[in-house]
Amino acid sequence: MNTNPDNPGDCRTDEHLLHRRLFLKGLTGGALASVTSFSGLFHNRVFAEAAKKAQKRCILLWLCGAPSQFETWDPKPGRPSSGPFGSIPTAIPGVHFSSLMPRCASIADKLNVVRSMKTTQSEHLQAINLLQRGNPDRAGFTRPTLGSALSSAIGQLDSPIPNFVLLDPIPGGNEFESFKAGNWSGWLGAEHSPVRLGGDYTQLMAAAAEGLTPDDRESREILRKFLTSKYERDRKSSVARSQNAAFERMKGLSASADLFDVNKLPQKDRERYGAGSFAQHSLMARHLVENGAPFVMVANGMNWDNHVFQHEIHQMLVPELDRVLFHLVNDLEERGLLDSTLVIAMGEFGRTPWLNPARGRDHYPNAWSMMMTGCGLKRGIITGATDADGVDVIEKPYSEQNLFATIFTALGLDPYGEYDLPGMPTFHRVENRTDPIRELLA
Amino acid sequence: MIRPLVIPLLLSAATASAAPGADAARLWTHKIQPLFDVQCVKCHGPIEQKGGLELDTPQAVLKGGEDGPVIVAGKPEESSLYKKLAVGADPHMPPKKQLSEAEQELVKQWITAMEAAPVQNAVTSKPKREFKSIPEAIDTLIAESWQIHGVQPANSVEESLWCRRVYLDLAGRIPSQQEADAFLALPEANRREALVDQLLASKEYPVRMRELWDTFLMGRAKRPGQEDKRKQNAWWTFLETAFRTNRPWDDTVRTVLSGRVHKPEDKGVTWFLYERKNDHQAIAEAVAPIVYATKMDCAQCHDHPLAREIKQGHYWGLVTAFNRGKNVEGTNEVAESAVGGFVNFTNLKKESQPAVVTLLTGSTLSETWLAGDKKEEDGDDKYVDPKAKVRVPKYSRREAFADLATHENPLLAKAFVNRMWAALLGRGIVHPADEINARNLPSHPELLEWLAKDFAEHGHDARRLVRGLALSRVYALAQGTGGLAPDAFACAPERPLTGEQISRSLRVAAGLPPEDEALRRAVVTAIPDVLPKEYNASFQQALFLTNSPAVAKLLQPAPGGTLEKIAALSDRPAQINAAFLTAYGRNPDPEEASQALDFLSKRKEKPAEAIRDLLWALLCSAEFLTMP
Repeated sequence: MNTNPDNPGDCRTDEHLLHRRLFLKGLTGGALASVTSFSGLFHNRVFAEAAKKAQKRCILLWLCGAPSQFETWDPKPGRPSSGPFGSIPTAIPGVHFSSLMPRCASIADKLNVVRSMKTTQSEHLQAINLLQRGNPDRAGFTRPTLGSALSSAIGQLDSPIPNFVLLDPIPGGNEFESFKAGNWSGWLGAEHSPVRLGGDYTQLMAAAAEGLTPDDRESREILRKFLTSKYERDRKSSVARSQNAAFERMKGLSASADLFDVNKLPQKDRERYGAGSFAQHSLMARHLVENGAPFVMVANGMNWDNHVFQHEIHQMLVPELDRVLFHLVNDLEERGLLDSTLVIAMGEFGRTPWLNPARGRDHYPNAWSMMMTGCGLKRGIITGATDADGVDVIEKPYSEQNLFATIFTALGLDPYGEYDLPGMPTFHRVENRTDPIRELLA
Repeated sequence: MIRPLVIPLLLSAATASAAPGADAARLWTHKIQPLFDVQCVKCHGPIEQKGGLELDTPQAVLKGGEDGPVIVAGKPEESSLYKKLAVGADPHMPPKKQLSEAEQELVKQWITAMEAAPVQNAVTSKPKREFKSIPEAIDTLIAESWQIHGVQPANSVEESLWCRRVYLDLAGRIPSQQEADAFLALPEANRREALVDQLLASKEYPVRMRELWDTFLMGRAKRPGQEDKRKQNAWWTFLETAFRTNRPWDDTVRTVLSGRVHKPEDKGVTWFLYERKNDHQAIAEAVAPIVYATKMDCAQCHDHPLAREIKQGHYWGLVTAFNRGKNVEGTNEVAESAVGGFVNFTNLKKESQPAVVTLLTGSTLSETWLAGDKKEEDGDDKYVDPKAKVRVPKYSRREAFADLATHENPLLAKAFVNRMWAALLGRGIVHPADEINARNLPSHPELLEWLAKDFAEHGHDARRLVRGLALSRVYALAQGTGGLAPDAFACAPERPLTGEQISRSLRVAAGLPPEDEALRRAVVTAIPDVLPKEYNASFQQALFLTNSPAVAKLLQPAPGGTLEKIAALSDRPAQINAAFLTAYGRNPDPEEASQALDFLSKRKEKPAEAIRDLLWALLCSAEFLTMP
């Protein structure tokens, strides 16, 4: 226990600083907001530290379009399905990764890889839905995505940082574009939809209107709010209510605008992660979870869908992923946050063990790999296996439901928890009491 | 004082007035069907029929399953359907779930009520009455439903606000101060007709209609450059010309579906197909709400889970109507093959079936399927001009479908009428407006039938329809103050403005000409919704209004602009009045006036900036961003 406070005048014992009941209440269920204001709590240094460590968070590196397992986590050296890149040993004896991933290989003992993902959808939009929502579709009902489910379960009411941040600078992106335009939050409602930032989506945050002093800005906003609230009252206007809520949300965000400004991130960190927007946004995601964001999803359009020149493009994409994961996992560990932060890197399926005539790999949900580590998981586990050519899973096939049960369990949530939905069928976070991937759970 | 009671008006006037049978029908629509949909229909409905039982329509429930009837009308205690719901019943339904006592009680009430008239009569498809004009039909039939349901409608809106509303709907912007004054100066007797006719003849009306129908037919542009391409390829010109010349809607649709240019003004029509880049499913999904009056996306993998008339075969049939097409690189035209495009689809039971173009009216495209593996040979003789860069087959399936879809297909008119009703009155007679199917019953069936028939009989005349809607009493109702069911059409609904309307209105309020392409783009990007099912202001929208340089630029002083005019006024109360008139077309009430006065007084050191910020607050408030 630390008995040497940093500053003279600080209280001598840490427990003293802490109202015990508040502490316990605050740490259950992640519902800090129900105790007192979020920022208020953080004025208490010890509480802030403790709460920060106990609060669960999640970073999803969404490799949309779907990377090749052969050029990442499950190389098949010497086999026809292998590409031109060799395999290299890792920090785990006997385990090899693609030679495009030397940094991840060096910290393999901090990562976990599932090599036996086996799902059923081979088209992007259907597969994105499956891997974002974690359960097969039921006609007529829209299940929340992982981010929305977590926003609702571990997010904080009135938090200045949005509970679901989506960092993706690409406006388009084929099927992912259609998905992005659709309903992320399903039956949980719009308040659990992602707040989309990154690239041009962040631009306006920085551009405060010219010639306005902060006071002018504040006073005109007070007048706007008065007019809109009066309109809401007089006409029972839900449009006005929604607009006022949007302005409130913006005010909260503007207060933490620096968190969303790439240029405000430390230059050294920016260089370590690399210049690409995926790397910079991954760094921003780290910075956001350090500042209390519960869920950040990083994507870069649908850039992993390499039906043409797969090797050439993966040769650019995989080293960036390798570098980003290496720094992200190490940084979180150094900051004592890896134990409470789940890091997931995956796409919506894998790629074919054979090449098409355009030297691309096509969609392959039958046997693919993903990585997840941190928060409630063991480290250095490589589970499941595919056959010599990676055509099929030969050991421990896992579905999206197994995966989601693992994610929820790692984050301290009941994977089979039932949604409270009056007038609707019964839905659970994961249906059919599907098992989590037990060998990954600590 | 209006009681805060929400009365759904889903039943037709005829059935609602007959007592006991109506009770069963009413219970079915509002309580039982929603309950069964979520608890039972997954296993007992169009997709699966466990025990041969279907529970998605009252007729099907009465018919029972393999073991006979499940309901004895009037006798819940003798009805196995009810008995199986009890705690501890064996067998028990739903299998792993217990319905609450309240839910069981509803089922009991419904079965009891069925004694008198077990099944609601199907809504008659022929309008019973004749009316002299569209406004007369609307006002008579809507007022009749108010009376039956004891609804007290809102008063008529003030003339100045009606003027603002009709400008926004038909010209896509608020009126300038002069235009509003000119309207009020007209003799009262015929001034509404005069203004509506003036706006329908204006250059702004076809642009406003193009903006609406571009989003209905194409969706909002999402990719960079997508909008520019629609413009460059004359798709916008095509739509604007169609609405300016008041081209009959069936003819417009026929041209859009055939994707062929027969007249110079058809030049842009090919873009409807071309933009979708040979994605025939995307084309089918865009066509369905226009021709079938309902979205059918979910019928891709199975029959519609709830609206049983929509089969998987309809979806795939519609896909085949377009699957002989292929974009020709370097043009904006879509060639069509004379042969092929016969596909089979697989249903949930893994049975394979041929996809045949079939309308919901039952008519089909009769084409000969070759037996077995035989394939029809393609050949130059099958094309009008075999050497053409974009080949047109002598028999064009696309054109055959376009003809089929626009002849004796009453859904074409119904879809258009319901969509325009929704655009002007905030919500379709069938809601959602693009899902007219067995699951979404019209709130006013006779009215919808009458309007659709009238529209078709008058040559699918869009201008006549819009004129009739705008001149109805229902259109002219004031906003409500809560408590009225939206499908009663007893007050003006809340209608958030589209990005285009906001952009032009901002310019008008600033004393500038309405068109500003850069501003329009910026506003539409921040506020893309058009007739959203659910309105949700996003924080990006707030961010845009607060920080956008485009909005800030509007509020810079310009010669002859609103800002300078207001600043030139003698005292603050006069300035405040002028600001409210400019932004809202009305004077401030005492509370607003005192707040605004306080605001200006506190910032008297910098009066010009204070007026600028007062205007900002007015223009970024709900009243400016919403229909009056």
